[in-house]
Amino acid sequence: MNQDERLRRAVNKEPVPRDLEARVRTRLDSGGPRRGLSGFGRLISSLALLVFMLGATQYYAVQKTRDLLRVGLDDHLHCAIEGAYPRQANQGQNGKAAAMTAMGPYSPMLQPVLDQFPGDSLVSAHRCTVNGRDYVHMILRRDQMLISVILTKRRDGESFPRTIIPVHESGLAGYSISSFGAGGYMGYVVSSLPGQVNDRLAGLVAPVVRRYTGA
Amino acid sequence: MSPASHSIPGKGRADFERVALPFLPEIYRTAVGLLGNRTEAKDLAQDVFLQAWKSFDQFEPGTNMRAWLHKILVFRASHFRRKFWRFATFGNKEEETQDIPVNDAVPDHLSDKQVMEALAAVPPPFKETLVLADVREFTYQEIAAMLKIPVGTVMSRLSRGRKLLRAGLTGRGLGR
Repeated sequence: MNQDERLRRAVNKEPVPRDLEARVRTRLDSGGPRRGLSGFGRLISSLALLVFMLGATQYYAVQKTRDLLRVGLDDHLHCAIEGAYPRQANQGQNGKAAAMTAMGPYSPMLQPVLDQFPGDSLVSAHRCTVNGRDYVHMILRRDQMLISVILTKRRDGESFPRTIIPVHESGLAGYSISSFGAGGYMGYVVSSLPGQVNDRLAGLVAPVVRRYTGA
Repeated sequence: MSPASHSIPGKGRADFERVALPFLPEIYRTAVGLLGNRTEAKDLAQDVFLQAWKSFDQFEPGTNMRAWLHKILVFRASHFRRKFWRFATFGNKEEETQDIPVNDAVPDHLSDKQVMEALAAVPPPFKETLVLADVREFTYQEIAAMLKIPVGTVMSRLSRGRKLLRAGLTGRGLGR
């Protein structure tokens, strides 16, 4: 008997456990044919779900960012655009002193902020309440445009979401809005300037404001 | 149970049992040959049939059920084998086969147990080719399709597997 035959005989003489068939039938009872999607189908559906989740996350982030930017815009529209701000600029020599008074405990940051806007004139600095929210608001004029530097206390859950795709929002209601965190506050620069210019101004103001908000 | 599959003609549980279960003894014995362990072979055989039942809707009636089950077997066997796989040893054995003569007669007095022990000592890639070719008598093409390797690789693995088995059977087994 050659090696092949010897091996074949040894393997085929291996006794089969008596309970094996019953065990197999039991296992078959517990599991059925795969139905629904094939492996490729499951891959596609997983990818689709992933894309959907990323899209939903991004949509949520965009919406939340828009809501938070709206907080700054509301104040700019109320005071600067609709003209509800105190007319301190018309008070001559006393204008700045009136602004300091109107800012109350936030007055120390006024001059350092103004230093970031050489050539621009102060229109008003004050504290105000819009839609039940308190703001510290500085308004400057550049040519015929008004620029608002706004500070408001951050409420629970108010933080700009981190997103895979960076959110850049500069065209809300036709205004450029740049936001920055400042400890327990949210800071804004809102204007009709081009977005990049507005962002640059926010970049200059942010560290100044943070010094006074303990951030 | 599988109500959906029952609605497909020829794809019900009864159909599966009719065409697949007759191969259970063969699958179990092949599993013993591949794993060298009856307990694991018993588990593996059950696993193969469960997997085959789950994928039965992909099986084309009229094609080779025996080959299909063996294909599932060698694939599933790799999971059982992994913990025993030792690459260093595997490499050495591959080189040592160069010196094993192929024309030694197999001693007649060897028991089936000794043959199975010699088979168990053959490294997995050679053993599965050896079992599929010399025990189950699948063609090179069928084995190549099952293992997803070229026919040339099947032939070289079979040649080495035979040499290694012969070494074990003639007392020149590796490590002895």
